[in-house]
Amino acid sequence: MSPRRHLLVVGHGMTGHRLMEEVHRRDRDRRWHITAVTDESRPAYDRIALTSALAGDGPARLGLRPDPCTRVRTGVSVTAVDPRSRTATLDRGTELVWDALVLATGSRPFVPPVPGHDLPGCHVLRTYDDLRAIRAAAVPGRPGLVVGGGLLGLEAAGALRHLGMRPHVVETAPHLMPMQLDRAGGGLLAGLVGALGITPHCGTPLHAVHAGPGGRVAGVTLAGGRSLPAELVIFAAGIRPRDELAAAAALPRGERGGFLVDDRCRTRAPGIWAIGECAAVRGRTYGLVAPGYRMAETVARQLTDDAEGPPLPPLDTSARLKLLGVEVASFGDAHARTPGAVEFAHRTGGTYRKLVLAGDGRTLLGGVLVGDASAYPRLTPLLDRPLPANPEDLLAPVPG
Amino acid sequence: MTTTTTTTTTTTATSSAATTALNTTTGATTGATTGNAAHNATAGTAGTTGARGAGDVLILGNGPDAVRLTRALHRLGHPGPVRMLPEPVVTAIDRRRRRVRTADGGEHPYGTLALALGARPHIPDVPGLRCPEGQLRGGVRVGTPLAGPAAGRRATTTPGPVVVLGAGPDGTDAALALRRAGRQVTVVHPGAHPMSRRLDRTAGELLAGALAERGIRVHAGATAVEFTPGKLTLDDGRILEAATLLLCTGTVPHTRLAAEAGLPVGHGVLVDSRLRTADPHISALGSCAELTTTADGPAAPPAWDQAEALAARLTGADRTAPPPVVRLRDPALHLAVMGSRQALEEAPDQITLHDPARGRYARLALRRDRVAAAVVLGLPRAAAAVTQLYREARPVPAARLALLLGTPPLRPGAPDSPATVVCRCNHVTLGELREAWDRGARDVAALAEATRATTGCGSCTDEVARLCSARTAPSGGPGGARSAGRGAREGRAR
Repeated sequence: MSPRRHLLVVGHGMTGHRLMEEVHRRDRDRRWHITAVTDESRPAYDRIALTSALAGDGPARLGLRPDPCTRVRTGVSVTAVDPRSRTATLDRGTELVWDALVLATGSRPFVPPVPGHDLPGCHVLRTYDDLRAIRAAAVPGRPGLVVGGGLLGLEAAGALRHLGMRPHVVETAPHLMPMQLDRAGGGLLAGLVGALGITPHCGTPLHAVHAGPGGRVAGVTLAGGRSLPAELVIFAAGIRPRDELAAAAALPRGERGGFLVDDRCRTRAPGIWAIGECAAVRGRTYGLVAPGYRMAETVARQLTDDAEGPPLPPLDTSARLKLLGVEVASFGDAHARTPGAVEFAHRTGGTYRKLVLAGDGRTLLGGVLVGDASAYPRLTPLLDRPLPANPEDLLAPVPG
Repeated sequence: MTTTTTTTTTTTATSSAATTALNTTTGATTGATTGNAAHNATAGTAGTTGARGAGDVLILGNGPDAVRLTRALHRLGHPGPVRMLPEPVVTAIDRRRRRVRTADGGEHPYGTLALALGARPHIPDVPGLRCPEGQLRGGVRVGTPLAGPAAGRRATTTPGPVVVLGAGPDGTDAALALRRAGRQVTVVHPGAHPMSRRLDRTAGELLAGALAERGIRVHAGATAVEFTPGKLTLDDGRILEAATLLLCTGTVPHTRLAAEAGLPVGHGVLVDSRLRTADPHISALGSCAELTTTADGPAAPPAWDQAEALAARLTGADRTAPPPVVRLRDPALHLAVMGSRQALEEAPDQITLHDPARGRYARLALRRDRVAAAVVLGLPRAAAAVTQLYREARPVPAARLALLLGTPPLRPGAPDSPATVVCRCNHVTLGELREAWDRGARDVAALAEATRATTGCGSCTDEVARLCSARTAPSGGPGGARSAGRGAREGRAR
């Protein structure tokens, strides 16, 4: 039997975990010895379910069957990578040798550099440890604030409400969830969310965070002068890919960060791939799990087939979720950026459904659904194809 | 506005007899009306008797609205007498005794009084518009339909740049017509976009774009502060060259007589959709009337519609005046507006089609499936269809996109295809889930194990659960029954 080769996975989030699973599943001869290293205190867990895991012990653990060929080391970071010697240095000074390296370092939360952003009482929400800190700091009945009205921000606001606080949400864009929703959908969402006890403030960036007499957060001011009380602040204002290893390893980065990779997730250095949120596929990063999983599968295939394999399929940026009980979905060219695109929308008191069609008025390019997303699984397979029925029939809720 | 025919308003005071510029009575004598024999009533005899039957119609005013009503009554065979009094000769309406007093001391009883008092163009209070004697300065013209087509023609023959003041339907129409005639046109108006009282922001901006495309310059959010011959100064200091200044700044309904008689008056004489004032014996129509039910604001509803409706009611049929539809006359710019801006933005059910690349936009504001308000721009077939639905208060058909695009509706599609992706994170299709079910995975956990569905973001969990219950239901359809049988066999084999 040929000597086993070493696969080092830097980071063990959902995507890193999927990679290990895939390699394990395909590698019947156990040619790979896999080690994952993560600076988090726990191995991979369902990060998406983080906020909904407030009530219990913590989010579901993504477990791997125990296997002598796989190993996950927690609480350890990789500080340097050398493509030529094929080594990686750990924070304790240990060196690991690898035959293949997959970077799955994910993202870190972006904190706007406003005055007071690091006062006691300011938090981010990315890891399970963050969640525990927020849970410990939350005081029922006291005012809270979330900076960022996107997906994560709204979920964080929901978490604060669940913990008994009264949260406000501050968003720079003119409406909530600007990446997924259009103005009308975002407006409806704001109304629905407002009715659930979360107060959105859109079109207003954060100006500063202020301390109270005890030195902890007491309030914030927004651009334009308005003040809001806040004894707990969560920054959910975006994520940035964790590509700190790029410089020392001489790996090129994407324009907006991330390890630059091709459509097979290969970096410039042979033997080094990048997947998930830290990868900039042809320069573009993705903040959703589905593209990350496709990347993990692509790399696993290359590692176990020893062949180039097919490139990544078109990466899916559609999203469907229940935000504080409100259904929200967005898919395809939701913002009608395709030249000549036509938007057809129907808004009622509690729902907003919009289809983006090509100039022919028939080919589906994208859509936004708020309040009722039941049409989502019927519509997404029709992307880039002519609608087979009237949109009203496709959008109508299906009984049972 | 295409729906109002424009004729010049001329009031002629006859020299001696202060009554009846026009008399028409139609139909055979019937016993239907009390008192008066159904023949021409002339001056002098009118004032002698007391109460008149409802069919005895007296029309105040002798302008186009009055003429339309008279013709409509004639056409419908109104049996009673119909008389007309020009407005200037009338001094007062005595509602209690149901008679009208004229300047010569005469008294004219009525059964039904129809106010067709008309309106005059509104002249804004801008220094320099009028000569010291009061008439409009040279170069200043009134551009509303009341001024008649002659005013428009005069404006187009005087050479030089034209400034249109006001961007309501009249101002917009005038600007487009002048531009079609090859003139240099600038529009000045105080709103954020043209026709801002009726159009939402999207439609307004598209309209502004259409005007710009045609080379019409528009100064929005601006008012005029001074006019000197050939020049108009705006509040922002800009000075515009204006060989002709066309005033399209609205109308002032003639309501004095009604107000003095104690009738409720807003901008115009307030009437309901049957054109009745607060007084059951008095109706009002045309440019002097203001419909309270549609809350359309100070816009002149189509007068011929009103004349027809009022004449019909007076001859026994109960008809409401159909709600007005505002259209531009430009042959290339198809714009139809129904209802108020408030109804447009506040009705509970909103359907929109937005095609900015082709300058097309439709917004239907529905209440209980009927059009409460609508804007249709650049979609002539849709405009016609929606107009009809609006005027007839009919429910809008279910295939709305087809209605707006003017395409035939598609037949309902096939049930869920196997290619439908249920779990996007792991790319699991409906077909794959069904197969997994057939092979023995009977609950969400088992399906997750077999296909990975629900193990990503989890948002398809409800969908997968629904699939399970649909399959276990006895009437799950031919596929369900078949696979349940097969699965049961395979389950045991496993």
